[in-house]
Amino acid sequence: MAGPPNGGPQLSRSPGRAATAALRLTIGWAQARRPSRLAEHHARYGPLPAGRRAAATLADAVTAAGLTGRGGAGFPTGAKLRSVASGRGPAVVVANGMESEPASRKDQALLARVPHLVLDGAVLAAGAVGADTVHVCVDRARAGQAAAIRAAVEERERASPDPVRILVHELPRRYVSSEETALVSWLNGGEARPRATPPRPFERGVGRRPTMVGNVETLAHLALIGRYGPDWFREAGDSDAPGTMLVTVAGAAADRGVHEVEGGTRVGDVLALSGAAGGAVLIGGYFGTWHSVPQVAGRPLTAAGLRPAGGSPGAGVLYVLPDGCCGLAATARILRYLAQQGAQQCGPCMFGLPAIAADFEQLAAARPQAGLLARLDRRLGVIPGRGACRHPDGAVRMAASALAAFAGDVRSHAAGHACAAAARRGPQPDGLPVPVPGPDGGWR
Amino acid sequence: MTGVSLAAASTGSSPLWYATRATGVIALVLLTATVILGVGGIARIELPGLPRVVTAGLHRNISLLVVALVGVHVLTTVTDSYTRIGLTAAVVPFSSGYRTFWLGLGAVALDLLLAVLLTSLLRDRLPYRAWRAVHWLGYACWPVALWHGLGTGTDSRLPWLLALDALCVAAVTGAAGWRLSRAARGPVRTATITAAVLLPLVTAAFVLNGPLQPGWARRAGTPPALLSPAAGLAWARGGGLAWARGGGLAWARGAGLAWARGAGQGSGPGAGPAAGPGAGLGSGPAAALRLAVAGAAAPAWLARRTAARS
Amino acid sequence: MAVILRLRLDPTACTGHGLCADLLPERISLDEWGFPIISGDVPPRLAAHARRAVRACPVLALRLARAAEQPRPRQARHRERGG
Repeated sequence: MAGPPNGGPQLSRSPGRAATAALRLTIGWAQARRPSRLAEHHARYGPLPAGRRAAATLADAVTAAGLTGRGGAGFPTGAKLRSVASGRGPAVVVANGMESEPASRKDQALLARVPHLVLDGAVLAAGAVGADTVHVCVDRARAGQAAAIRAAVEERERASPDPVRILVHELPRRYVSSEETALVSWLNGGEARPRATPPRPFERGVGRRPTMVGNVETLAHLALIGRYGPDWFREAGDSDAPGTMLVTVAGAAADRGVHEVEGGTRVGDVLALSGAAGGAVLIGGYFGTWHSVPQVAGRPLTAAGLRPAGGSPGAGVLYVLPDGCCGLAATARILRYLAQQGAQQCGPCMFGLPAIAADFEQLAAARPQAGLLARLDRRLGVIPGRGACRHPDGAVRMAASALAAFAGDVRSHAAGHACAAAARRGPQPDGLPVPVPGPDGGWR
Repeated sequence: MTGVSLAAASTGSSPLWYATRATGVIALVLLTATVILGVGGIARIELPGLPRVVTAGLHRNISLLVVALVGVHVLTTVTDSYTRIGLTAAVVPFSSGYRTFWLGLGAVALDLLLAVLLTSLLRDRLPYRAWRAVHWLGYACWPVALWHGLGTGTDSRLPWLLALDALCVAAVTGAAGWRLSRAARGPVRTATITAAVLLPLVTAAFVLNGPLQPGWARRAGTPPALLSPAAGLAWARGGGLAWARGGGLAWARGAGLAWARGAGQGSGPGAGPAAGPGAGLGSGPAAALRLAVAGAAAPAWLARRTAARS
Repeated sequence: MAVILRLRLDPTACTGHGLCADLLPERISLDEWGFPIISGDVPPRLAAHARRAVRACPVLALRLARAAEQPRPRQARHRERGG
């Protein structure tokens, strides 16, 4: 397919930096002060492809493009479209804009700057799977977000109505509420708690219909693939991570925030791009894994690239631990948050996570009880795989990676000596966004 | 024995009637045990030598024994032609002419028991919440059965029976109250705690003003034909069988069997093996007690065997 | 033809009563918080005990079915070295 018409997003790279920022989704974000209007959106990206032929070929185009889910699981989007389309009866599309990972900002930024790109993607996906409704799910606690999206929907209806109904919903803010089955459960009138599978949403989800749950960034990429085709998509990135992705860099970084990079960019380049300065990085959010920067800098920020190091990119969140801050203390705070955020449905999670959080708090304070490390090791072995969802599994994986990445600190803390750096300068604010648990807003 | 048999004979003394009363008392005692074991299970009480599976097994087996005893209780009541209580009255509450309200309570208790039994047998096929809701209704079975016994029971005036009832009330109130104290706060909890506190008080007040007062049989709804004092004297002279039915005095002289039925006084002076059905096993209530104790030991023995095997 | 059975626990229903571990200690042990850890499938010689354990659960959280008809339970590992 020829290049995009009317000067659409050629892959532009910003000069003068060691790393390259690719601009496709994020064109003009630096100057943007408000969501782009429909007319501006069409001027920048061109009109939305319509018609049955476009819908019929979309799944193939997405598969050829190699687009994978940007919500953290990395499932091939084309395969998901095909599974939902082959289900029985009319389908449903859910646009997941919850972004319940506290350190992540990319979905919020996307919805705040280019809501029409996300809605285009949802509408195209609905055409491809035979859905008549799109449910956009956002976090109730983010003031104004739902209103802004509803305004965009109304703008579309006035200009030229979409062939599907678009509804915007505000869900309670919980760490686990952005999980697929939790969204489906809430949309079906229940609580936003994950459900034990089966059936998975693509078989039977909202209203017992096959449901396509897509992260808003995935849908944004889908909207561009629908316009410009899979070959254009593959012009960026590399063969096993085509296209571009949004990453959020948090913590000790001069240029913190959301960046768009090509797939396959190395971790070190992403950190350099954002001016990060720190010795350890948590990749993949609170369910991710800790790594020392030198060990991981040369690896691509992809699933295949990080697997040998025991990690995965997740939703593209990188938290850089400032020098002089204790990684074990940061881990303890994260574990305490995750323990509080569980659905409180299963024993091993309800009791196990607070137990390991307490263990890490002891370790971080360098006041270990006898047998702490052995007890912690036993608990980390026993908790995973015994809950209805992967919440405890993710927490345990993160905790275990902390023990490995900060092994030196673990030894000295276990012997009763606090971190040398912390001892020198006293506790530093680590910039880790751990939300203070507010009044319980419920699960509904 | 004469004094006791005078009181006991106030509503007849056939072996069926004895069996009814006996099975009723034993069923109530075993129902008390069932409730306490059920509470113990939920409270996860584990005593040395009494693992959770044994508590659970005892709860189940004793409740099955209760159902069996109530079955006998109903059967003996129905086949006893003296009071003309039909089978329908046993399951349809308040449909009998004999002490309508108090007997009806028995039917209510039986219905609740059958509901719990049925849902427990079909447990695998029912949603858990449905089974649990019916099982909680089973708590109501106990006070209903107690009042049924106090209201219809022939023996409601006997001190040893009242003491037994008081013991059962204390046990159940204690267990249920303790269980409720661990439940979630809310209107349901408050309501049920109030009920648990009121139960012994209301029961005591009822007993003092009801069965212990003279004339209770008539106030409770016993059909007039079966009441004392009624018309007629019946005389039977000489040896051989002497049979007197209905109210009034029945007098049998001489040796031989003497039967006295009906409300009111019945005495048989000088009768040989007089006044005593069930002579083989001994007098009625004691016989039933011995039988039931043997039956109650069976599930405990079975549970021990099961636990030992696994 | 030996039929292998597989135990499946509904973790949201389980409240840690622990009767299952009493009746099938060969396959079910309790963690430090009283919740069951299932270690392996049920061979025919343990089938009767397994059925008794399933019946004993006060909240019906434990189920038994043929191994061939059920997915293997997730075995999440917290240390992933290579692979």
